[in-house]
Amino acid sequence: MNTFSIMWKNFKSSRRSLYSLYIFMFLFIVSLFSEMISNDKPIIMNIDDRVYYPYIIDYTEIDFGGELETTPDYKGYFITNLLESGDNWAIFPINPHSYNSINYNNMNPNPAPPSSDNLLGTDDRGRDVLARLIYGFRLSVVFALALTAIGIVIGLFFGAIQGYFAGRIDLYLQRFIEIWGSMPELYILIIFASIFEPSILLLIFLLSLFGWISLSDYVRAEFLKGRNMDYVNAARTLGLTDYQIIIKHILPNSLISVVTFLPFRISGAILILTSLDFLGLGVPSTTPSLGELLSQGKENISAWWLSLTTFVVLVGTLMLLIFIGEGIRESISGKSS
Amino acid sequence: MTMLEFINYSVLLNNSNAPLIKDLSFKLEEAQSLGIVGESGSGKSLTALSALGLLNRRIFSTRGQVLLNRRNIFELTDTELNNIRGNEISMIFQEPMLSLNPVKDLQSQIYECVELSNKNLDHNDIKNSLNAVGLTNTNKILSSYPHMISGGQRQRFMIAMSILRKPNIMIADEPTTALDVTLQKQILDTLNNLKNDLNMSMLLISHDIELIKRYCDQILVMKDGVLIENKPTSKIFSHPDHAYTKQLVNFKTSKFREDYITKENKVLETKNLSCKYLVKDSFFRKKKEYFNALEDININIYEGESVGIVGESGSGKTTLAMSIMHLLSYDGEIRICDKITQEKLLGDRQLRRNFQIIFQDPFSSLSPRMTIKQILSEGIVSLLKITEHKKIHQMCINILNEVGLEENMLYRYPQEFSGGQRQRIAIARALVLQPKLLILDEPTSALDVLVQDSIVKLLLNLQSKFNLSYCFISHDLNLIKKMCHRTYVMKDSVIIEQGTTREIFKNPQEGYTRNLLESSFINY
Repeated sequence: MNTFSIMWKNFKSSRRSLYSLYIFMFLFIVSLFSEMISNDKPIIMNIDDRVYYPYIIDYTEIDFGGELETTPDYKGYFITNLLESGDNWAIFPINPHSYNSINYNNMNPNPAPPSSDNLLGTDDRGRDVLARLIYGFRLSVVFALALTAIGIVIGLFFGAIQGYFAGRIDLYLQRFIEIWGSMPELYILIIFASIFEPSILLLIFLLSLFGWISLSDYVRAEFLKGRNMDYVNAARTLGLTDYQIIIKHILPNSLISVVTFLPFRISGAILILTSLDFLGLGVPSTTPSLGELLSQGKENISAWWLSLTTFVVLVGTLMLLIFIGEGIRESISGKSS
Repeated sequence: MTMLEFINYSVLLNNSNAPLIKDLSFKLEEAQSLGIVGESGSGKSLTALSALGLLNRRIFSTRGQVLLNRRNIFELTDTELNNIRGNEISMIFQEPMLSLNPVKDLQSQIYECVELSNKNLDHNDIKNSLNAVGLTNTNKILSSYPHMISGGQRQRFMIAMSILRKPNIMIADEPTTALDVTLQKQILDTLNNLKNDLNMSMLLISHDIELIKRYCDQILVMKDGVLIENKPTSKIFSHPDHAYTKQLVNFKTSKFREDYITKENKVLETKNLSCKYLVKDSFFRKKKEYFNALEDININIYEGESVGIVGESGSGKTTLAMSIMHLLSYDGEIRICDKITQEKLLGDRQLRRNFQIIFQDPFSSLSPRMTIKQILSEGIVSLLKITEHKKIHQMCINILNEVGLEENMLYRYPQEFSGGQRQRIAIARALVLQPKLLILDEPTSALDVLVQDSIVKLLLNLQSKFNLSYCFISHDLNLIKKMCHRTYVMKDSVIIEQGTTREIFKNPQEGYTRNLLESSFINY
């Protein structure tokens, strides 16, 4: 049996990790369809025997017989009136708020406590907390996956080159990495945040510049070990090129350490994004983010629904990831029957 | 008086029913030396650990009794056990580097023994016990760390530590397996003398029956956790009962190899081959220090011939193999099949098909992420340039049959095979390219005795079938004797003696060679 199938078998034997993986995958896949779950636009609308799909198509008010050339406020006076007349009807998503839509109908001052309209209340600008949590979770996980993937590609590249060729190449690259790694990451982020318009792509770019270093060290060590294994020597005597040896022989055997790190790197990346947003160095406030919700919770201590719900989502996500990571780690060290 | 007695002793893994040791019963008398022989997995080491009550109870469960001075050790408390360990019974492990703590100096490690002792010991006792094992420069040794002294010194130090408290029983679990042959004899002689001087009982565990025979009065043979023979040494060799014992006893009685070789086509020729390693490199100064791993090596091998290269570890044997395989840079000239040189090889990688290598450790020489078929077909694709799937498949099947393996093993991974099977796979990987020259770097030393025998037979068979030339690199003189027509003896990077195997074994010219032969316990 192949090592990865052995790993999977061992992983499955740890119930906690397996269920964590299922729950996490479920939440992530569901969150990918956030627009269908939480949106202020109806999924489907029937007005005067014509069917509209506001969720997919961008209509203007003129399309509904209004005057403005802008997207209508589907929960505003104009549309509500239309819906109440005749046979008109609309199906809204389960949570009829988007992460950016402001609930003007709320009686309470913002931040408003949970109500039947806003299940988890609103933030200090009147935006629905549940919607922001759903979108924020998705953004965090996608951000973390992207950051991890980029980090792994760069880390594998540098680590493989250093470890395989060793000697002088390794020496120079290692010095370069030391200098590179000693650059103050946070200052660079602050400086860039003030020069450029902060965005999620900029953050991924900046964090990728440094995120690969810790991984490349591990890959380098694995390759340094691997290059002296007899099967690598055997491959050389079989006439394989350096590239073939790296790809076919050493890389598959070094991937284990990378795989072990995956969930922990993902949870680390989520934490980084959250803390940057909390400090106000991260994404702009129009973007849904867990960190921004937390900082609002700090500003409005009495609005418990802000900090508590974000806390639960954040801790839940990190815990699931850490349980998964633990399971993977166990499945490698465990017996390979 | 009986010192140690096992009565119907069984060991089981907690989560399975198959016993690792089954109904083991034997006695160790006062001042007796008892040897346990068996292959790996036969339960030798478990027996040794059991005598000290060192089995982890969360993993193993035991049945039956182990009596130490008539006390059942399974009924003793932990404190009582700790008092017994070291004071009454002590143990020497296989790998001295691993059994000494690398971050503590030797003095503090030996003083630990003094503190735990129930006798009053002082510095003089330490000195005496170090002198007894042949470590005379005591102050220097005591202030060293484990990595600063040699392997032989480390094992002597371990022995000194274990005899310091004058135990009645000494258990030595493969005490010399990790050491060079010449050291083996010294260490075991020391151990044996100490045993006689201090009137200890000794339990010596080894896979090597010849070694046991020299030092033990009584021999136990274990196989798959079962004691299959328990007899005085002389009787075991004259009247072995069990078929397995017979094989063991007969294993080392071998003849020289003297079939006729036409010395016509040279398959390998080296001229003034040298190889050096950079020891010290300075970034700022030009001065560099080198270690000469090979100096002016001239060897040649003819078609169909087997040549042995023997020497201790560190003599440069493996470096020689690596440079012949062109895996290292070297000075001088290596010619393979009279035409392949370094320059030609750089231009045409496919020439590598003419010479292949078998490594020592079959566990590390096969990539654990590839199936047997992938492993075998790699060379076919890259060196023979065959891409036709059916043809590759057929070649893989043919070569597997050739080395005594089955077709259905093609899609399995190396970790599903035993050591002997893996070595066969490694041989198949080399032979599928139909090389002229096969270099074997300690091909059998990681394998059990009887598996060694089957690999040797396979190699002899293949040689006559394909007219191969072998270059054996080994410290196992018995293997060399069985396999090789001619032998080169290496010491400190140079070849000090060469000739036919018979000449070298019967009439060694150099003192070093003589010493090597004596230490190998081979009878002529």
